[in-house]
Amino acid sequence: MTKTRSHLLAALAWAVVALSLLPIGWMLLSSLRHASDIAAGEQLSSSLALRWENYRDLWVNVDFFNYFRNSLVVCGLATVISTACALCAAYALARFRFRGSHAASLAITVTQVIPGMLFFLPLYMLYRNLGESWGVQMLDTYRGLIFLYVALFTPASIWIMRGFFVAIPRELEDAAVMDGCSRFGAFVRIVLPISAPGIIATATFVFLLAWDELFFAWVLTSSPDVQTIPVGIRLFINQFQHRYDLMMAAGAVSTLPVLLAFFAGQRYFIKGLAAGAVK
Amino acid sequence: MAMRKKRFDAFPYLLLLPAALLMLAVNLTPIVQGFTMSLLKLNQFTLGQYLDAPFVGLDNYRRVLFDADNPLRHGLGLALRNTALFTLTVSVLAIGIGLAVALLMNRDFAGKGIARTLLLLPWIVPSYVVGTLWGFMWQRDVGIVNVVLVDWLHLLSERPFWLLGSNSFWAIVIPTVWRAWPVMMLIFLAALQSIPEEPYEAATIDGVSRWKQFLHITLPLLKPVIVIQLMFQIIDNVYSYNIVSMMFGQGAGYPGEWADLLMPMLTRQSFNYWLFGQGAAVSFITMTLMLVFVGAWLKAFRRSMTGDD
Amino acid sequence: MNAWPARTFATGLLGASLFASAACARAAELNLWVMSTTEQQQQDMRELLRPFIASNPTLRVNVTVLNWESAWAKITAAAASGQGPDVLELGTTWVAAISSMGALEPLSEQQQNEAGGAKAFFPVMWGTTHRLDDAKVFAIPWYADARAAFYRTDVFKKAGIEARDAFANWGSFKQAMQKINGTEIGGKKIAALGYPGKNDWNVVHNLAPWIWNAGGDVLSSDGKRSAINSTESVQAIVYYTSFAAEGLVPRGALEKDSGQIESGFFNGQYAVIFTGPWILKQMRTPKAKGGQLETVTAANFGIAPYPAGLKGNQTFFSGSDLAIMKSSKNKTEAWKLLAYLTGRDSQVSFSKMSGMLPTRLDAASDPSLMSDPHYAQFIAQVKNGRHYAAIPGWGPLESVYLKNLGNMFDIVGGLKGKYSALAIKQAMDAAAQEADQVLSSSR
Repeated sequence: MTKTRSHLLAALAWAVVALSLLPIGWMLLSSLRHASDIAAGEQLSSSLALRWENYRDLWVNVDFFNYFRNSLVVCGLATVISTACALCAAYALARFRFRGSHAASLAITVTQVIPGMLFFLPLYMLYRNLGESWGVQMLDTYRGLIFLYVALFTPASIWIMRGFFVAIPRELEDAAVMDGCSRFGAFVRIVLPISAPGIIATATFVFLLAWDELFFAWVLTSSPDVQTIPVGIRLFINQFQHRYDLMMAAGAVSTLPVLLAFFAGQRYFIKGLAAGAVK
Repeated sequence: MAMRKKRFDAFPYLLLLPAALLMLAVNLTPIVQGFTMSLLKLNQFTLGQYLDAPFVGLDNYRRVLFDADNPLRHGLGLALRNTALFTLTVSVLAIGIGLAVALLMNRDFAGKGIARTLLLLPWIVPSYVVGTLWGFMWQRDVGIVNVVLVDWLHLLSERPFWLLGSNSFWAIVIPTVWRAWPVMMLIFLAALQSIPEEPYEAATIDGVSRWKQFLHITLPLLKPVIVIQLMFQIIDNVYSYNIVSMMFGQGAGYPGEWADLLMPMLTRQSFNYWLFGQGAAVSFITMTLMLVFVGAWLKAFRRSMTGDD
Repeated sequence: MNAWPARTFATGLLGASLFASAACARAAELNLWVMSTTEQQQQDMRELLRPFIASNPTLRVNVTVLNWESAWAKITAAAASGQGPDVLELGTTWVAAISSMGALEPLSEQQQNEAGGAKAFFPVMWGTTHRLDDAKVFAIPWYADARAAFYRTDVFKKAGIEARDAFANWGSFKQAMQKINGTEIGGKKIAALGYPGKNDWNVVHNLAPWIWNAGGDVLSSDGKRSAINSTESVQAIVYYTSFAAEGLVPRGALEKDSGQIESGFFNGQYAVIFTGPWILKQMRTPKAKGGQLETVTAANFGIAPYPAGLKGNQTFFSGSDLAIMKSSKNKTEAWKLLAYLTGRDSQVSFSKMSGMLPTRLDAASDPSLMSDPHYAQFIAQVKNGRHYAAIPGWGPLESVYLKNLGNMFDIVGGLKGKYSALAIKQAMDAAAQEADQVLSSSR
């Protein structure tokens, strides 16, 4: 590998990075322009001042704070609960051969293939019945959405986590059990710490998936107290059709939390996702 | 574990319990009800009765599959065609570009870690933001794509429409690929890095060209990863909804003949025409086909995927 | 973390009522769903409801603001599940459909008379409160909008055109547009006309006046078959689309929606657009508050009726009605709210807030509103106002038309074969076929 060639390839890599980030840069730039400048096609003009008021307008006019808070709560709790359930289930499937384990694996794969269209109306009705007949409000509540998200994203988590657990040698747990530790204790005290990177990776992944979810959030919520960001943006687009400036600002702000989550866990995430996928 | 007698070991079941209960509760009843819905005549007049609506057996399926006069079929053929083309194009491009960039990144250079992180950014942008953003970028008059192509690079003399006509197909493919290939790249990169050096060294000594090395060493070793990622890509793309919905969500909500995908079309028609029974029928057919596909895929590639398992 | 702490409220209420005497009225909570008609609907509604709350201290009104796209799905869900608001705003084209689902409470003769009865409202609006073939009334009209032409007076002057002549009939309109296309004003060439293409829910409403003025219709008079491919309808559509085909409407407009076209009018891209009274409000609001007051357009515009076709110069007149849901548990109080909102004073206030028109005759001729000449012009248009037939299948029908007219704009834009009167006729034949299928399945 000659030096020139290696420099060229590195330059190519950076070119790919730049090209790939162009749309994001465009989003940020447009979020700082006035709507009429955008409509007139003037947004690239360097003579225009940066309009930071758009971000303030977003909070003031659009009720964005509610959507933001709701997304944080729903996605955060869904991630925590889902990861916890997935850990246990993945461990069971990785370590034990028991009747129904094969069926369980299969079931997990199958759930990934079910279209939302098929069961959104029954789910809506189920939630409504729980509310009307049993007094347990599920529609338009945090718990309704969280419950659904946990159920939706646990299978994917199990799939990934199982890969990690399989990679950990059994000897460590066996040794702990031999020393008098319960199997669950061995799980918690030996396996979990070792697979921490994988757990963080999976949790980040679930958070991203939950943050991205639009369809069910749309169907199951109707008030700003509970609606999440994707719903808010969708509603907002219709109301402010031509306000591309606000739309881009909303886009930028919606990306921020997942961006932070990603950067916080990226070391583990990259390592973990790669390891889990290769297995 | 050799001393275990054949007594019932509850531990794994207990571990599995929370996840299993959740999945059953949320998936089982609604799916059974969804299937039931597909056997009922559920339209605007009977919607209030819900599951007590008139039972019509397989009539919805018949209407969807064979009745040419059926309103729900308006655009179903087109949506299927588009979804097939879309899935094929996006899956191939995402994996192809992901692999190519992974190969490019599989070397050391200054700032490699940062570059790799930055490359993942498109995937982090939520898909509904991607839909909105690119919907804006594709605008004929003020969108950045035409500004770059026509005003800056002079590659085209006339500003094309991207959101109207057959170009709208590319208007949805490109953002989807943009968002999907980074994860592919990451996974392939990890796989590439786990391949040992020796085979390559040996091949170079033997005078084998780099391209042949790629074909005969790299690709076969990557096959399990490619196969599984391809399967996930296909599933995701068949069910793609967010980007189309947000790009064309305002106004009429009709993406046009070339950008209408199966799930957006189904959702829209079900709500527009209130033909929920038939909507459920189509969903069920799609799900069955996808299950068959996954089953066949896993079976065909079982050995190459699991390797030594 | 619930949205509606219903159980807490119920418990508190029970406790409170134990201490109240039997004669004391129990507090009721009303849920009202409205659309986002004004820029700050939530605050405006609070303002609007203030007198009502003051005179009904035992009532509480919760306002939910929906936007038009989500409203359809939400209302469907509410109708299906029986869990919805007490009072509901419905677009005039939706009342027949939603009432046919059995979701609305019919209004008695007494209630209708309380609101003023048919004679107190514009006849076209009253026609939207019941099905075409049924006298049962399900809603009371609330606010309305009509369409008219907005034009740049300075551009007309520069090109030497008189508005009266330009908008006289189809022939003179075409000529006038040809004359002003490309006129230089403010250092830029302005396009003659702007209208949105396919990406807009207004597509059908934009075409309707032209179709009616040519003597055609979107629906047969008995409401059972599509009439969009009749000779007159096709003539009108060919005429309308010829403006884009001939370059009098810039190509880029075909991709745009109404909001963008209106923006284009404000920033000097088009000399003429057809839209409703809501942009009057925008032109009176300063830029700092998101309005267009300081633009050249706001200082140089006029309003004109649709050019007259063979059958007159009708305009599209529609709006929203208010209805009570059958599932409401407080129907008497809901009626009070409804009667208040559709009352004269409330309509005048709302018209001022939103720029929309009242539906009551007495409110429409209120001096405080009529003193605005532009508003008065719009009210004058109302006598030429027309609405679609109130059939239950309108919703699905409109989406069939939206899709097919959308495809038609592909033809106009040269993206799908060659533009010709024949191509349009064929496209409309296909549309009529699909429409008939939908109509027959929704009976």
